[in-house]
Amino acid sequence: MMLLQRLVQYAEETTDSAPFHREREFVWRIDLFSDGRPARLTDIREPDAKGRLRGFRESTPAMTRSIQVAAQLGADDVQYVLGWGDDTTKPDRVAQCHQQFIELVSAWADTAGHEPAAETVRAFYRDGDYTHWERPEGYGAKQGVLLAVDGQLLSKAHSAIRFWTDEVTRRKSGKDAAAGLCLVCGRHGALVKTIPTKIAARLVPGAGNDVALVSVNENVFGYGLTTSLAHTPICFTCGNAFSTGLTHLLGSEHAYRLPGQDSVMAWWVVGAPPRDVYDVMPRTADPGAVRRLLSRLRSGDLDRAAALADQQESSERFCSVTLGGNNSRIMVRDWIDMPLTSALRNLALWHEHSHMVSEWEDEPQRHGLAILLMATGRWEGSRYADHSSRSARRPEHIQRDLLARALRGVALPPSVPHHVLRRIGADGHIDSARAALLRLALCDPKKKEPSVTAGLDEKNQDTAYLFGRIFSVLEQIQYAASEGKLNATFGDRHLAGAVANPTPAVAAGRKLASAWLAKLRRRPNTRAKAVAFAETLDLIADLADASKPLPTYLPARRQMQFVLGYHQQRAHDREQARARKAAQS
Amino acid sequence: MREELSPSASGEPPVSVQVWGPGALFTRPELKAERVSYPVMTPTAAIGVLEAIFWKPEFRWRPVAIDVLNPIRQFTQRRNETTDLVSPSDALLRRRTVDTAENRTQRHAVCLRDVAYRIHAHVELEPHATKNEAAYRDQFRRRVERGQCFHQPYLGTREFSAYFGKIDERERITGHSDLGVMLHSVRRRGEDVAFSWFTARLENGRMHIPRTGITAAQPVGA
Repeated sequence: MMLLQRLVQYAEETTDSAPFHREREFVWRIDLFSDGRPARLTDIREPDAKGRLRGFRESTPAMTRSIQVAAQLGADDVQYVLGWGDDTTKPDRVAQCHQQFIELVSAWADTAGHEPAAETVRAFYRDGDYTHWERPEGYGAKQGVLLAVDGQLLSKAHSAIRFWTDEVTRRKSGKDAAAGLCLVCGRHGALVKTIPTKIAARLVPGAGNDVALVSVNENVFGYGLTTSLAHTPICFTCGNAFSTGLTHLLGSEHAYRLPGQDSVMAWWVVGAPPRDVYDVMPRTADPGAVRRLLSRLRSGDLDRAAALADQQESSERFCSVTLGGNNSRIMVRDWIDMPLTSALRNLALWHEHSHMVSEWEDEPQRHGLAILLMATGRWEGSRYADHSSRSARRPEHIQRDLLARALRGVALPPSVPHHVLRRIGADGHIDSARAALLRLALCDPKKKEPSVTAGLDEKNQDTAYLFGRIFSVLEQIQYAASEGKLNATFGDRHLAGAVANPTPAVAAGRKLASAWLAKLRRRPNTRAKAVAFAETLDLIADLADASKPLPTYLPARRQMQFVLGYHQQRAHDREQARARKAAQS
Repeated sequence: MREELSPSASGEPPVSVQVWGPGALFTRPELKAERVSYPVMTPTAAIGVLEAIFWKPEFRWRPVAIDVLNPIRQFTQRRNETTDLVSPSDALLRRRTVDTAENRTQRHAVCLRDVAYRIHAHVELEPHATKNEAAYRDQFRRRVERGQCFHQPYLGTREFSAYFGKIDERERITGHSDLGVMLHSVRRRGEDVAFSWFTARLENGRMHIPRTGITAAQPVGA
């Protein structure tokens, strides 16, 4: 099913927003009273958690307006509601805006008949007392103002909602109003010329201003060099509903929008409760729910369910849309509509493949999306550069690459492991999150049995992997021999070069290791350690096939093997050390 | 393979051709500024392919079904385009020149990767046709066998060239999916353009195309 249909379906099921309404921030509120009390203007901003003054967010009548004057009903900018301009506005235009607002609200009051609210509003603008009000200091012509009568917001009146729907239809149909088949719902209805509601720019990364999902704003985009939606028939109900649904989704906890990334991903579920999926999604995974999902994967239950769902066209669906902004248009970067069980199977494989041993824990750790994404940035000595840091060197497409791996079950693009390898070389830092990224890149996303283990693989005879292990042992020998009193370790000096070409570094290390081991052997308390280190080195070296020497420059996959060998050997040795310490105490 | 397809007016089965290519873009009408492809070839794109191979004013093509032979996979691309195009009437009258560099716009597209389709279509004769359906069908088959075409067929947009050949016994993909409302045909009468649509559905890798589509917009009160 198409994206717009799914969004309309989502809006019908989850939102109760009035048609052609949108949430925005309001700074002022004008209270009118039907009992003759004077009207008053109030600043409704309140301090947020950081102490900054924030306006009140409210869903009010809203319709897309670009550069032309177009009043909204019952709540609008200061320049529309009160006719007050500022340094950024032109007096003529402000007067025009205000006049249009009065005309609109008066037209509503006429249709509302003898409603007290209508009478009060009519009287307010007829008497014009507000023109003598003292203007508050620091106000802005484009700040939002809410209009309320006897404590009730004008925009919430039933008559106002009905009037606004008719007004939007009138404005958006254009002069040559048309009716016809709607592409989205498949029914006949009045068709829009342009989409009546836009998505707020803050919800879509890359958007220069508020954006429309469906837009034909240049003649080259339309059929036969035409603008507007003349050849894209969409009815008013659907045109409003998919924008409302998308706004709701993008503002919900189902939206993935990390700073510095070029897109936002929002997901939803059709025909099943979303909680089960929420608990296994890459960013919000709950360990218990992931454990249960993995046991379903290992028992084969998920495979059977996914095959059945594909065959029988299951009504339980997983949907997600990944969007980016392009000035005032939205780019659909990815759109997924798949059986729920297939998505769950992909997610289970993601969790299975993103396990990785850590230096600090005995059991392999799972890594959330935010941590993996963080690990693609620059290491600053004690932590990763912040998401929003310009010098973080984090590619802006990493979030969608990782999400495509998790949800679609497609391989990570080669640019991701390449980038991680580059960062490891530049930062000289490897941790479990970076190793997990490389493991995700190496494992086949469709196969249940991972080709790369989460912990040390003592049977792996890949020379690059073995060289990684040897490199780690050499680093530890040096550390033990010098008792940690080092300015620059063997790893500091050689790791960056060794990732791409480990042979010279390992050869140099093995030469140096003779002296380090001799030093250890001379001390009675480290003599046993020297023997153990030497044995480990020999054991690993014996696994290598001498007839298959490493090339001068390793291809990316083998560089990844080197890094994993290094990381997993180091984590393994740390775990052994912790176990020995625990046994001694 | 073709047993379930409706016969032509003279009771004959449709002719078939297989097309494939490394990429395709069958733009959805609702998402066409930042393009998103339908997951399956549209009937109008199929007619484009058929007419590239063989066209005569004496008949027109009516596709009846499109088989999907490769799993549906996507890729995306973003590239520089221009907003400065002239309409045919402007071009004829030469009222202005085109400045591509000054009117750059970046557009994004969600396209299809490694596609292969089997198109089944009938030949429908125009009143002035001089031969019967079978003659045109045979001519089409001969052209497919020789790899002859009037111009290189393409898959939705000219950037994605299509290869074509005789059909083989490859299995269609499995599974069902709703594809939403799809463009059925475009009719032009003078300056006026009329679209018709149909509710597209993929059933075990085959999309059936109805004989007529539902017509689109009519003026209010018409």
